[in-house]
Amino acid sequence: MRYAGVRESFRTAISSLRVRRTRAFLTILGIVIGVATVIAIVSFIAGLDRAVEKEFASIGSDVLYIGKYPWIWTGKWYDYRRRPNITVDIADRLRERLTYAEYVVPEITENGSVSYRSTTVEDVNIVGTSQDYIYIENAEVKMGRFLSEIENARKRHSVVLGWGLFDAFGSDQGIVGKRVYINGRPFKVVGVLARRGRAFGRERDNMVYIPIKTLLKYAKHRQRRSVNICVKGRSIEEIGLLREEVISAMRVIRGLKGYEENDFSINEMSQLLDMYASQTKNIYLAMVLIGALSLLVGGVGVMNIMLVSVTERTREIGVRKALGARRRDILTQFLIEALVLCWVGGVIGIMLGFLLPFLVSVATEFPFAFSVKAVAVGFLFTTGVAIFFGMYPAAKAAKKDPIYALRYE
Amino acid sequence: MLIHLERATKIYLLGNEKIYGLRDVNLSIEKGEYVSVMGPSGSGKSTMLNILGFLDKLTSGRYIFNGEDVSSLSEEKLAFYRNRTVGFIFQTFNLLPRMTALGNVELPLIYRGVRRDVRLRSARSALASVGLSKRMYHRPNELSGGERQRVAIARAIVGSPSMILADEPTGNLDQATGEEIIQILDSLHDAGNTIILVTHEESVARHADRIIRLRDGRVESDERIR
Repeated sequence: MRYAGVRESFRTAISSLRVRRTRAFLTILGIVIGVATVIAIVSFIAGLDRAVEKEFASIGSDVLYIGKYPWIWTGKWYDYRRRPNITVDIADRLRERLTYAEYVVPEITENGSVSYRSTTVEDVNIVGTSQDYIYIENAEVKMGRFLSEIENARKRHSVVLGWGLFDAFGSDQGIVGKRVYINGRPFKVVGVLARRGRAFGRERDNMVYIPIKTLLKYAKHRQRRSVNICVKGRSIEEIGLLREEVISAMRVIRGLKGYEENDFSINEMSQLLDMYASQTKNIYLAMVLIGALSLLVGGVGVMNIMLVSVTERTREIGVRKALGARRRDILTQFLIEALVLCWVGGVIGIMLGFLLPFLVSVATEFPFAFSVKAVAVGFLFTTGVAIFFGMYPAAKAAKKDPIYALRYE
Repeated sequence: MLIHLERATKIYLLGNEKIYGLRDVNLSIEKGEYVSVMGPSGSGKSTMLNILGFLDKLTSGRYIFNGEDVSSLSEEKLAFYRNRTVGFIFQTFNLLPRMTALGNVELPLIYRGVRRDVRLRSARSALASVGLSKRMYHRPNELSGGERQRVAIARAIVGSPSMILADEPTGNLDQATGEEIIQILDSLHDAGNTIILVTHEESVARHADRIIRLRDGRVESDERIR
């Protein structure tokens, strides 16, 4: 089956658009707005995705987090609460057993106040941990050093200050070796961390780090506190093996029988990413569809103008048929005209659709990402609209009786 | 024999009323003939032209074209025959206004699927043969009535059709221009083309070899004048 004169149809389409410039412009305005909306939404979503991924990157993807509770709750809270606490002792035993782990670091946090000379900072995150913490968190020591193994073993009153505290204490360059008071107890400053910024909306500079055993010594209700254990793997490729190893080691340590379920949770970043993806998928789809609605409105405009055009050009259709145009030739011609109309609108819309979020991202902190997907979506939607709304007028044109059409005034 | 109509009847329905376009017409036209069709309005001239030109189908009877029964062709086949075998010339020229003369003449070949370079060559030589080499890139509204009709003639002959059907080709032209057009038709006939010319001007009709007069859908007279 041949479709004669596709190229000629494109030329005819472009010239007929030129002749009726104002009308064509008004018609494609609907398409422009519709496509721009869809593109803007898709690029906002791409920007959001990118921002979230950036946040998640602050959690190493090669780190497993063992805790009493899972990050994503799937069961009943009282089932989790019944679980035994995770202790620092377990961290030590895991460190001995795990072959795929590079670092095993226990961690627990409390809130409290920190004072230096006459300055007191309230509501500070007091992190009890061990010497390898900085390797897991990719933190950098700015002055002095991080905590040592011996300080933990001896439950010493040593502290490493976060950047925020150092800053609050007047950026005293000689602060290392000085004494600060944490919840009224004296601690010796052994180091200061470089600025870490925020992650998951959490300020990570308003923290101090002390040996976990020291923290537990003073913690209220210390029997009821469960620590978290961070296990960093040797490589991302072996994370699956590490997970298996951690599970079996934990079951051995806990003395679980074969039929008993795990009484601990292993958390990792990929779970959060999966959850984010599954939670947002439908919302995003709905957003794109709502955007596409405005494109439909544009499509109705295209159909309307194509119908007018078909009527106006009845005689032309008659002539073409008299010269040997078949139904499908006429159909193709008018479909191509609708396509050209929509594509012109689509191109302008795609450009506008990128400009809009770009301007927003310049003016605000809202993320924006150029995505090829957005262009593809825009193009597909436009083409779909053109064919859907162009088909009826084109079919109407193709069906015209040549005798009647030739006499049409 | 190029055209043979056998008891050709065309009935239009207007509400419940039957209107006869053609009534039991028997007619044969040889290849190379120059035939005028005359008759008052409503006599069936246009119906005859539509039937012969594959724009319409008979209600009953047979239309044998070039030895083939073409009485009940599909829409697709009708378009094929229009494209390959007929060159139409209309009273109102029926050129496409947004296209140049060349573009208009090219059209039948586009629907035939002829390659662009071949198409352009044929269209140029057709325009040259009607004396419009210098006006090829003008649009219809930049051309005079006579020039427009000559473009239409070029369009009719570009695909070397089996017959040229001219429907009142001089009807919208002044006397002198009309004569020019008829002379072109005469020369096309001299070159061996089959021409069927619908007109109501006796002087125009007399250019043909044969005049068929219709009345009420029937052949009233069929005289050979040359």
